[in-house]
Amino acid sequence: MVLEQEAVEETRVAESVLCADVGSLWTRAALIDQVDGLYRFVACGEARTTIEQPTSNVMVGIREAVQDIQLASDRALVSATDDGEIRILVPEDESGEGVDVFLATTSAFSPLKVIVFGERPADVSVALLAVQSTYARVVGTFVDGRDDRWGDVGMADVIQVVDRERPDVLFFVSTEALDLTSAAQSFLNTLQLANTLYDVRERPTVVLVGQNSLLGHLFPAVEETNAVQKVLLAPEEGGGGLVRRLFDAFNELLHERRVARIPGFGALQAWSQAQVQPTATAQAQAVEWLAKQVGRRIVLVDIGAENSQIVATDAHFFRSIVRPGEGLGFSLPRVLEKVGLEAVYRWMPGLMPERDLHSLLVHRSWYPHLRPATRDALWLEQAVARVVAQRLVTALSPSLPETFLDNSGNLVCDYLIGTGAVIRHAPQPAQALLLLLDAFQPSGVVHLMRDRLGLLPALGMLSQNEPVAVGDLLAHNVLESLGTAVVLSGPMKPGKEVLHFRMRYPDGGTYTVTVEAGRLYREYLPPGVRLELELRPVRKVDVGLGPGHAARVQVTGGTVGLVIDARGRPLPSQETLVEQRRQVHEWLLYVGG
Amino acid sequence: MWVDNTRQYIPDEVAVFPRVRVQHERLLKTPGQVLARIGQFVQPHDVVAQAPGRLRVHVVDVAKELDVKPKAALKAITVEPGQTVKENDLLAQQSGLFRRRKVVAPVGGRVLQVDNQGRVLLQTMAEGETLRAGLRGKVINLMPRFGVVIESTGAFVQGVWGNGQNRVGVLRVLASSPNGTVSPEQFDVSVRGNVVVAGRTVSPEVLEAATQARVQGLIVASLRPELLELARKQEYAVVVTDGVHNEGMAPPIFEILRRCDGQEVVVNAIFNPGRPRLRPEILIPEPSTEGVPVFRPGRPLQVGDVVRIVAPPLLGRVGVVRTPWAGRGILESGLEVNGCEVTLPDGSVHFVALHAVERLTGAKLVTSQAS
Repeated sequence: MVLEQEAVEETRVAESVLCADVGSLWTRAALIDQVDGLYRFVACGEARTTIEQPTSNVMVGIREAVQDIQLASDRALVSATDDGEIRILVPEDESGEGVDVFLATTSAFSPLKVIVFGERPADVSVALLAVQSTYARVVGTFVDGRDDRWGDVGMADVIQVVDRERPDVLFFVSTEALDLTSAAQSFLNTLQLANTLYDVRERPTVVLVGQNSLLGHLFPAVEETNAVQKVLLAPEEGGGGLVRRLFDAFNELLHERRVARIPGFGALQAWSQAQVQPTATAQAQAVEWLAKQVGRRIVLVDIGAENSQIVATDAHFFRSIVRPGEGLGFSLPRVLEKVGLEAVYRWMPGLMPERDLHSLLVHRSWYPHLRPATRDALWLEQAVARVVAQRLVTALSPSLPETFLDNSGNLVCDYLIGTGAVIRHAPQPAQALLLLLDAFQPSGVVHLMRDRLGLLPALGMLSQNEPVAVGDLLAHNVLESLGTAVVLSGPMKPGKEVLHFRMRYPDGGTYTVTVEAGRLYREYLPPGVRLELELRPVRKVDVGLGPGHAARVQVTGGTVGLVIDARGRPLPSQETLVEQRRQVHEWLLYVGG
Repeated sequence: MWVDNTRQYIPDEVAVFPRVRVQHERLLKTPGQVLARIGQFVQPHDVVAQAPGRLRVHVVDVAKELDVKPKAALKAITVEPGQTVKENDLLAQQSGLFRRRKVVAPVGGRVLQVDNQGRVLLQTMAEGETLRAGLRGKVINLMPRFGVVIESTGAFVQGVWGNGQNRVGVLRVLASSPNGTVSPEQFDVSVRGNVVVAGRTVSPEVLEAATQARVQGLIVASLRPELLELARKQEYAVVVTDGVHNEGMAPPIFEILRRCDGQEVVVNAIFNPGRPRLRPEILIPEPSTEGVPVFRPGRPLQVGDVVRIVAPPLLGRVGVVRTPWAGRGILESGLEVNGCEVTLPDGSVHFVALHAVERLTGAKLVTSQAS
């Protein structure tokens, strides 16, 4: 990513930063230090997360990951006291041992269960935008409460949902009401009934969102029975500002009820100079910060072990969706139940019989920490990741503004960034690139990247605490550039010529290629190289400027290079599973995966 | 200042002990009352702790049951919020021209609300949690309000998957070798009440034959994924010791089971996919605890540890750790990982990813190189 360093205020306070991200399966640590006055990535380490017996203390995993860094950098970062307690060496001393700052993020907890009540559908939507941005599972939404009914359902139905799901949080949102409305009264009645199902200490926390005059009635009544947070609306307040404030309120709850309860949290927080943050929040902050700096449309996808996340943002828009329980770890069986096995097999290259693929999937769900040892296991993991990412795109699309969509509803963005172990560890960069292309099926010209070092959560934390460090790191390719994809849309009859493109090298030389429909092309374009590409599509074929319109674009190289995607949409495109798997294999070979 | 730069790896582990003292935590999901005492000897089905049931709601749709509109249902309802009702007490009645129709309480409870749709919300108490010992042993510690620690002595083997049942029977090894299989015909009257060791894998017919023969349990090395659901439905205990890839049984596991043939065995086929260290258990109890070592999980991988490889291409093979920390290596998939060196029984040495080994703690294995 090209980031002008002048864009970031030049104040480098800390000499060195150690960051840790405690995931549900893996704990990663990374050391960032100043070299010649600029922040640079030094080393990273990884270890199993330790939240289960017999080692239910996240600090054990962190220590292991940090030891990787100590070994690689030959630098002491932690020390052990005589009684076995591990301490972080802060600040960095004159000999270069220790670090100045430690920051931590985590996703090693279960999501909060939430029910949203709203006066109007728009109120519920606002709450959902905030709640779905982080580790929450919305187990019910009820709108328009009148006479103890919520829309088409009665109080009994609501109570049955409460009984079944046992939510941790109840949201009530009324952005317009100035006085105690029937919806507010229905909410109070519902809450009163819901409370009868809980032990007093376990009652759900209530978040009240509304105008001061309304909350003046509601808050005292709720406060008597439940823990309650109120989000007061300023007159005429709405839109992004409100979502952000709801998100902050919810994040506070998440911290209190989940983050702060992970085993070993006390020691983790004691090490950290800032509050330990949920990983998804930090990642979203990183991408939002980036989008503002570069003024481009960025989409991030994270396929984790237990959660997945998608973020779409530019200078004016921000949307993040976290899907708890949709990942490649213990949650894999639930994902397969939702999508069906064939949806996964359609993205599986090779000839391994379906029966054996099924065995591999079950085996993987029993041993989710396993890194794929064979090619088939690797491809299968990447196939599942495509399906999980597609589900994220489907969830995101309805809330995207026009600037992120083309006329056919395909995603349009300038940067597409992938993270999560399956993308990060893909041994061939082309596998990561193709995974992102297949899952997102974007159109136009897009620069693809991956967070190979797993530093995005750290970048998010740094963007709040030490933004100059983020600028330094990004300017020095902390995100791996996979390359640029030019995706053609329009009629793609296999074998028919659909595009002529000319690469113009900085030394004046040119290279012309004719592209046939139905295929992928890969051209060598190493990282750091930018050159001009002249695109001349045939009539009805679109490279992002409208059907048949020629274009000159600047493309950036990467570990894969330049990829022209003339496969057509939607994918997968073959009817039979056998044919589809053969084609997926061909695509992989085209790009060198 | 002392800086610990030794890199250690604590692997997943499966207990495979011919003789050991094992301490099992048995905990309630929610706080309750511990019934067992320290020093008490417990049998698998003894209740060691109980938690009260949580409050639940039961909705009786009077309008639907009487097939009338909500307004009419409200008129027919004879109970009021706050009122306590017993099972079969009258909730509503409607007099018709020829007969009187009634709606009675399906469960006892307190009337929480009568909503305007003609439904009665009954607050009931769900059945509480009853925690059984699961294994035979002695209670050595109490966890106030949550449960107990039970110490058992004997041969002890953990599996990788179980169908949730808990059974006691006589161990009967029908398979002739770790790779041997059994046929449905072998499940005759002679295996009634037994826990059968069925070798490498079983067919659906064998699962059915085991039901007919009224076995108490079935121990098998691997089960095809499509059979897991069928196995889950069986009333006898099913424990898978190795995996889903048609693996043979790990030789140390088979050897322990073979040696205990004919003895009483307790099978606790617990399985929780979200808690990998909660594994199904097979215990062949013995009364004496003298000189028997205690199983203490959680130590780092060491030279000489017997391990099972849980990822292809050596999936299911059992070997001995030669080098616990062999640095970085590249797998067939192209991934670069931290690994260890494992010597297989034929003497060959292989680099294996650390995350792909599972220690068979307590197992002994002789490799040709070691011998």
